[in-house]
Amino acid sequence: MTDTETYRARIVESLKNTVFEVMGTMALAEVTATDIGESEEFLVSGPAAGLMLLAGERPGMVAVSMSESLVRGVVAGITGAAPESLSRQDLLDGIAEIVNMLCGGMKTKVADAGIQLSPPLAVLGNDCTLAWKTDRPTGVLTFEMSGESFTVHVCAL
Amino acid sequence: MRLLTVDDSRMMRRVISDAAATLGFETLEAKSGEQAMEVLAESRQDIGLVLLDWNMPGMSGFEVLKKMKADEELLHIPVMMVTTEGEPTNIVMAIEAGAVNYLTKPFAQEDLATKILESLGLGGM
Repeated sequence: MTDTETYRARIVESLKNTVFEVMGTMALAEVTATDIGESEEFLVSGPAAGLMLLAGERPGMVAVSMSESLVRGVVAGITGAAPESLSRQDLLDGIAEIVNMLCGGMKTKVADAGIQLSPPLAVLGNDCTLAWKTDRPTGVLTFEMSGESFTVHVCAL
Repeated sequence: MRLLTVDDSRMMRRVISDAAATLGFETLEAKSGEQAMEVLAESRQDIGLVLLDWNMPGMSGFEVLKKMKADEELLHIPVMMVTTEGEPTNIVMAIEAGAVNYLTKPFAQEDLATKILESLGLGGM
C-alpha cells in the first residue's frame, strides 16, 4: 500500500467508526455498515445532504446523504422532538450538525494528518445531485438504520 | 442562576437546553460568539455557566473563552467547551485558557448532565 492508500483507508475506517458513535450515542439508533466501496466520481444524491470540505495538508470532501424521513428521524432521536414537528430549518440544521460531528470525529482520529474543516453545507431538495470535481477515487460507505440506507462519501487527496 | 449555551446549531442548543432544564436550570441561548458576548454583557450576573461550542462562523468559541477570561467582570463565570474538537492539543489549549470542563460531540445525555453538574461544582469530578 502507498502512503496515500494507507491514509485513505484510515480516513474511511475513522468515518465508519464515527458514524456508529454519532448515530448510536446521540440518536440512540442501531446502525449497520452494509457496504464499503469506491466510485470514480464524487456524486451525492439527496434529498438531504450535508457536506464539509477538508482543507490543510490533506484536502478533500466528505458528504452524508439520506432520505428526508431518515434525517427527520435522526434529528427527532437526538432532540426528543416529534418527527412531524420538525421544520425545514430544523432538518437543514440537523444534517449540517450530523456531518459536522462525523468530520470532527474523523479529524480527531487522524489528528496527525493536520486536517482543517470548513463550515458545513446543508442541502434539502428532491431530485438533487451534487458533484464535486476530483480526479481521485471516492470512498462510498453505505449504512442501514431504521430500515433505510444512507451513504457517506469521502474523497481524501 | 441560568446557563448560557453558545452553538451555531439550533439542534445542539436544544439538546443542551433540554438537559439543563432536566437538571432544573433555565437556559439562555446564543448562536454565535458575537451574540454570546452581547448576552454576557447584558445578563452576566444571572449566568452561572457558559457551554461553548468551538467552531462557529465569526468569533470562535475559543475566542469567546479568551475574551471572557480577559474581562474582570466575566472571568469568574465557569466555561465548559462542548465541541467536535476532540484532539488533546485543543483540550489542553482550552483548559489552559480557563475552561473548567470539556465535552466532545457526540456525547451521551447522561455525560452532558454529569459534566454540567461538575462544572457548577455540584458533582464529583
